[in-house]
Amino acid sequence: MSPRKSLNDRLATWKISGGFKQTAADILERGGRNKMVLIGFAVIAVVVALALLAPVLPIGSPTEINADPALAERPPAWNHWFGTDERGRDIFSRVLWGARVSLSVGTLAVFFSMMIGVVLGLTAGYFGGKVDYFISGVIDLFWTFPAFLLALAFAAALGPSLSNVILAISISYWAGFARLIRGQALTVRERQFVEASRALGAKNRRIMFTHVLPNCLAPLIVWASIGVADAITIESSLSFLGVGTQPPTPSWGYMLQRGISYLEEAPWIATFPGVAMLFTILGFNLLGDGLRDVLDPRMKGLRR
Amino acid sequence: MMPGKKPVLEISGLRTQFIMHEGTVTALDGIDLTIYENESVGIVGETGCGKSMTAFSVLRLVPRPGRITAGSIRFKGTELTKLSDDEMRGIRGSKISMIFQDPSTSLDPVFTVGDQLGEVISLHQNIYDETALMRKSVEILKLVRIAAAESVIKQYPHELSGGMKQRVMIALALSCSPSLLIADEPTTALDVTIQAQILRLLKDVVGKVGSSMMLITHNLGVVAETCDRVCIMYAGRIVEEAETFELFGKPMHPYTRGLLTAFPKLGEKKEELSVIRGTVPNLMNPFPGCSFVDRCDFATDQCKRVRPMMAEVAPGHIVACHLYPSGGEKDNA
Amino acid sequence: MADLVSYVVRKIMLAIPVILVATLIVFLLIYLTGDPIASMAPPHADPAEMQQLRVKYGFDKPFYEQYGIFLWQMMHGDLGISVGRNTKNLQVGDLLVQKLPRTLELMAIGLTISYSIGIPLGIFSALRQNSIADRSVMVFTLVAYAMPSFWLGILLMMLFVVRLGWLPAEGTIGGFASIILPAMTLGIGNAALTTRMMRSSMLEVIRQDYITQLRSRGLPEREIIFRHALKNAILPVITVIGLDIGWFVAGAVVVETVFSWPGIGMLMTNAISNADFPLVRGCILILAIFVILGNLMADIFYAYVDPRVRLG
Repeated sequence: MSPRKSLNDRLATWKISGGFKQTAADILERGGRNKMVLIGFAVIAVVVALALLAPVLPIGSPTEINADPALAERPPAWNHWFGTDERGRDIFSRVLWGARVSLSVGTLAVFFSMMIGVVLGLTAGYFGGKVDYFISGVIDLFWTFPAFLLALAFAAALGPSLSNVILAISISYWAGFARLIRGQALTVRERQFVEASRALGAKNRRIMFTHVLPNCLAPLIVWASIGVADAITIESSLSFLGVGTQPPTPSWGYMLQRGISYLEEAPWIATFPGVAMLFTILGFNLLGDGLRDVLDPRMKGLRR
Repeated sequence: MMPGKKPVLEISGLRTQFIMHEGTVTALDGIDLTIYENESVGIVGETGCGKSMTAFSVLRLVPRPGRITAGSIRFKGTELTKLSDDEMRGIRGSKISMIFQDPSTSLDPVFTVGDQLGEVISLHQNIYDETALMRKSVEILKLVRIAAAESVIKQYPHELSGGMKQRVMIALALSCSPSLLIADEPTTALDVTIQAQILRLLKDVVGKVGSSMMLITHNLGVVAETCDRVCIMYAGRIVEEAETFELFGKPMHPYTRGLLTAFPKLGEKKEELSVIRGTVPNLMNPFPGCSFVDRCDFATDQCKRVRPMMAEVAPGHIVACHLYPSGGEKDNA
Repeated sequence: MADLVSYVVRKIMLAIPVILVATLIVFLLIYLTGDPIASMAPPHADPAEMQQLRVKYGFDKPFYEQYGIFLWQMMHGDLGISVGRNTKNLQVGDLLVQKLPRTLELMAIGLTISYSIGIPLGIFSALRQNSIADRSVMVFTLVAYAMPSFWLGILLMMLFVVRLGWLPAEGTIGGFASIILPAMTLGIGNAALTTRMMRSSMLEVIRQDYITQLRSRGLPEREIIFRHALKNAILPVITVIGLDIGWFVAGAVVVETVFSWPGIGMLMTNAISNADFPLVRGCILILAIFVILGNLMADIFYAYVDPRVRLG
């Protein structure tokens, strides 16, 4: 039996409240009626589509520098939809390729954060006692500290590069996921102890893992969506400050930083990447907020 | 019905509805009720029957999207439904007051007892002098038998016990000597041991101030202690009304009978607690007949089709039930 | 009151190890990024010379010794010497002290703007829940929150500096004109958060039983809202000020860079681009202490306001 099939089988035999199926059904049914979810999803779809299509679209190269100064800083025109930047590069193309960077950083960073957070949260919640106390302390530390500053520190120390940015954000953003998982783990653990008195024995451990995660699915998805938005913001900010992705890799943050000097003569250099950034971040925020309203309005306290 | 006594509150044909786009919920469906000077009337019924809504309607505090859609509420001759907001505010707290069920959520937690008392008194009696306000506040607190009035005045609600908080609420309600006090489940949220105290206090104090009282409760025992007359409400309608003793002695309406027998009495041997079968009807669908028909052991075909009118079965005792045909006219005690 | 004092003491005691951990992390960061001598040295430097320099600066000692020295020096105000291009051989500590007030100014004004916009807007929005006005405010907060601070800063710059020419672009000129744009950038961004908090707090309060009770006493609606509801609703919002400091500190770094505002943020950005690690280390340290103090303040304030927290 393939691993996936056996997993499904196992889940089917356990009655899990709010498990995978339930959450997925909720999302599709009620999410489909929620305006924020729809708009957010639509926006993300557009951005992802454009980003994926970037290599095959007939647009200029994002990195090719034109030596001819007459081609630099051209305003938007039919051949360069967003104009060209200070080095003659087509901005439309750079924005699209920048989308690839932002999206990949965003999703990867969130993914890794989630891994770290889930592991630590489960450990803390399951073992309880001293282990929990210690890990909770660490979680609190990372939670109250602004993720951006942490990421900035790590990025500065590690050196600017795309992968370092992903790493930096991952180490900084995991606390939110950890809190979520830990909370859920503690609740399940409490309930399990009640049933444990009925001598369920060694089953506890497995039930913990397979009960905790499916129950967390809803807030995890919400948090992940908002997390991508946050991660993209952090990456752009880091690139803006010069510790993120380095040229020639196109990054929105970097483009904005260059654009400041040309605000007067060539405002489009800063405008378009900025709008694209705003659009994308808004999309993920909307999706996250909308899903939260759909799945559980009580989660409103999740983000500070 | 009570010669020589002037009515303080005359409700007639009151209908309060919640108009939502899923449908219209009729919380009160034609209530007739009169309260005279110096008397306490109990309104009894289960949760959701509209007792609190009656109180809110009188004070015109029905929460949106609810509205009073028909009927009249006359307070000492003045038609309340026709008053402006300002005029109504002048009545609330000074001529008609209300105390709520849960004293721990009904007092503003960030203001002291003294602040809140002072606020009401200065608002309605135009007294602004600090010392005068203080004096009056202490007076009222002593009236509700709070001995350490001077220190309680400086305390915050969360520093007081449940019973104390309820006394403060009563004090607030009676501070301007209203003609009518509405008490919405005043003892439900309190410890059983305190309940009796508070009820006795209410009865005494209301008598001292000379107000009438509308006591809303689901507990027949409370009513027996404190009320001169009792109304039984069901699904937004009043189904029986009589003097307390008469009602307990000779309950007429099947619902009333059910309520009374459901209450186990001291000294009575019982194998099982008797219950009234079924549940409260959905108030969203208007029902042409008697609202109790699904749960009534005596229901006939007529009960399903025609709404029973109030009929006088004994002096001062009226029932709305087809078992006691009315002959057509509505009799208001 | 006694329980408040014990709570404060407890919290301060807790904060100290947190600060220590912060210093450790900061130190680790720099320590792990490799040999500073090697990164500063020209390509074909003499290894013996490099080793001499290492000994001179103590880079050859074991980790815990270096950390210990670092702490010791720190407590005596010695945070190292800058190796940056423009600030060579200046004391890091001096630089920090010099630039700190600028950042404080910025944050103070930003906070003021944020709360002056956020609180009234939140109340306004709550009182008109689901109306067009409310929905517009919600949209505004959504957009303002999603917008990264530097982008907002650039937008404002475009509007006020380029288009309208009202304000100067550089932050070094001084005076109200140069602080207003960066402060507004920070303020508007945080106002979005404040508005949301105020709105939801207000909505929560209005639903409470005691509000209906107050109405039944005949109080005019305006008094109920602005005397009773507001006082209850504003508590959670105000206690968040300390936590907002974290947001502001993070934002300040970026915003100062956009507007060339001479504060810690700008200092740090320059230090990073100059690979001036001692200075970077000092900046991170100071920012970390800021955040920790801010959280401490919030905790204490919250305990002052809500006695139930003091047992925690």
